Formats: sequence, C-alpha cells, structure tokens
Amino acid sequence: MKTSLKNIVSNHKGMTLLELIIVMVLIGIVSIFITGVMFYEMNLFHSLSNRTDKLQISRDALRMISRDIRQIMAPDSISQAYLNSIQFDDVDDFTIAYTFSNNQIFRNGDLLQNSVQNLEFEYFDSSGNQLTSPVSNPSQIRTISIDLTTSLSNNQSFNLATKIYPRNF
Amino acid sequence: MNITDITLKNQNGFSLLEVIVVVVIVGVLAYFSAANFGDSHSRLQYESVLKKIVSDVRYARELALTEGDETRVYFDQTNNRYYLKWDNGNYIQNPIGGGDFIVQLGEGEFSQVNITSSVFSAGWLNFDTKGAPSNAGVPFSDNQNLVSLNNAKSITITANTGFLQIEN
Repeated sequence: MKTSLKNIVSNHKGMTLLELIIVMVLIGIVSIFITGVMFYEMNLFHSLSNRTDKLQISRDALRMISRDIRQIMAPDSISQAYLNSIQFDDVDDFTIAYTFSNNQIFRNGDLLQNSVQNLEFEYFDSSGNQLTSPVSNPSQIRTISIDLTTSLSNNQSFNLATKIYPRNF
Repeated sequence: MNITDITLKNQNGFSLLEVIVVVVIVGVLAYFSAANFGDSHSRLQYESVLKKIVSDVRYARELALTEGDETRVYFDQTNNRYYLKWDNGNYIQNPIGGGDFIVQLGEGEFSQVNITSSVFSAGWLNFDTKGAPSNAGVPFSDNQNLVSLNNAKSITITANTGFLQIEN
C-alpha cells in the first residue's frame, strides 16, 4: 500500500486508547516536574526580594533612630527611658519620641517601620553597668543600645543591633 | 464484546483525523490559558513598577543622607514619567546603566503602567539632608499620596520619617 495522505487519514488502524493514555500520563509527569521547578524559583525570588526589602527598611529605621539619639542635647534631656520606647530633646531642643507598638515603630507618631517583631532599648551608666528599664533617673545614662528584630513573611526574622554614644554626654 | 475488548484489545484505535481534532481542541484551550498568562504578565509589570518607584524614592532619600545634599523626586503626570534631581537642578545619575535618572512609563518595558495622580505633581518631593520629606520645601503632616498608578494602587509617604507603603 502506498503511503499517500489519503491513506494516512483513512487508516483506521490508528493508535489505541492505551497508547494515548500512556502518552498523556508521560506528558503529565513531565509537566509536574517543570511546574515544580518554576514555582520553586518564583518562591525563592519572592522571599529573597522580600528579605532585601525589609533589610533596607530596617537599616534606614535604625540609622534614623541612631542619628537622633546621637544628637541628644544633654544627659538630663532624656525624659523617658523605657524598654520599648524613649523620649528626649535633641540639640535643636526638639522633642523626639520613639515608640514600639502593634509591630510598628513610630517617631513622634509618624510610622517609621512596620513588620517589627521587637524593638528594645538598653541603657548603660558611665561605668558600663546596665540600668534596669524603665530607668528612674535617666540622667545617669551614658550609652544606649538598640536592638531591632524584623519579621519576614515565612516565620523567619533577622536582628540588627547597635550601641550609641551620644555626642554631648 | 466486553469492556476489555473495547479498551485494550480493540486494535482499530483512533484515526489520525480523530487525534488531530483532539490536538486542535487542546490548542484552542491552551490559547485561552495563554491569554490568562498575558494578563498576569501585565499585573507582574504593574507590581514591579510599584516596587521600582519605592526603591528609587528610597535611593533619593539615601543620597540626601549620605551625600549631605538635598534631593528631589518629580512626578510628571503629563509626560507619564518620574525623575530624580539634585537641589541645584542637575539630574541624579542613574546607578544602573548611567545617564540621567529619568524613568519613562507607558512605553517599553513599563508599557502598561501610567501615573494617574500625585500630590507632588505640581511641585516635587524633597528630601533634606536629615532625610525628612517635604512638598517642594513645605513640610506636610500625615500620609500623602506619593503617586497612583492606573487609578488602582498607590504609594503613600509618611510625614517626617519618609516611610513608603504600597496601598490598594
């Protein structure tokens, strides 16, 4: 029999259902692997960009807090020295308060950062001993350490910390 | 003839014509699902422009802090673009690829995204050397609509701290 197009089209021997099912199952298995790899890459990209983003925000926030604390006018300019908040006057006699509540940091009521797991201030006197918070006599404070923990979307978190020596102390 | 005869032993099988019909139907379905992919592509582009603006504005703020010179971000709604300038009017150099820091929306890689409103379109967003934002030198309070894209999501900026948020 000559294999002309007419012969192929009218060839009723064709493929069996079994053959087709095998082909479809094989295609299915291959596509499961392909989509698995694709989704893995996508999730990796998202979690990495989320991490970079949060890290940048946290660094910015910590830098702003550090700069303000460095500019405290004098030891007796600190009016509140709590574990999660601080209030003081800077060199321009401008009152600045940092507070931490509902996973957010506020600077004088303006949002500075969200997704915050914890923000802690620790206070030390001139001989380096830690003062218990809230500090009853804030004029003893010579150095302040800041500990900022930011949460990521996948139940992870990272921590940034710094110790500040205010210029005018 | 029992079921085994129909499914496994029936060597008559499908004709090429039948298989071609099936392939064509699968092709039509695939075409429509590809159209769905095109839709998610423009959504992806939209989301990435939002993130790009946030990151570029942060860059302007960072420069103001580190270089000790005020920076400006202009949102030009008429020309559908935004750009970064120094206080003296010179363009900030784009760290990626060099040249003036001008981002043109509505064409090229950002073809599906347009600026639809901005509180700063009459003036500019200014960062002083402490990183504090203002509207052309005039400090503002509360959250301001930095820019809205395609009348959908917008980016807001918090007074004094310059914190940026993407809102629905």
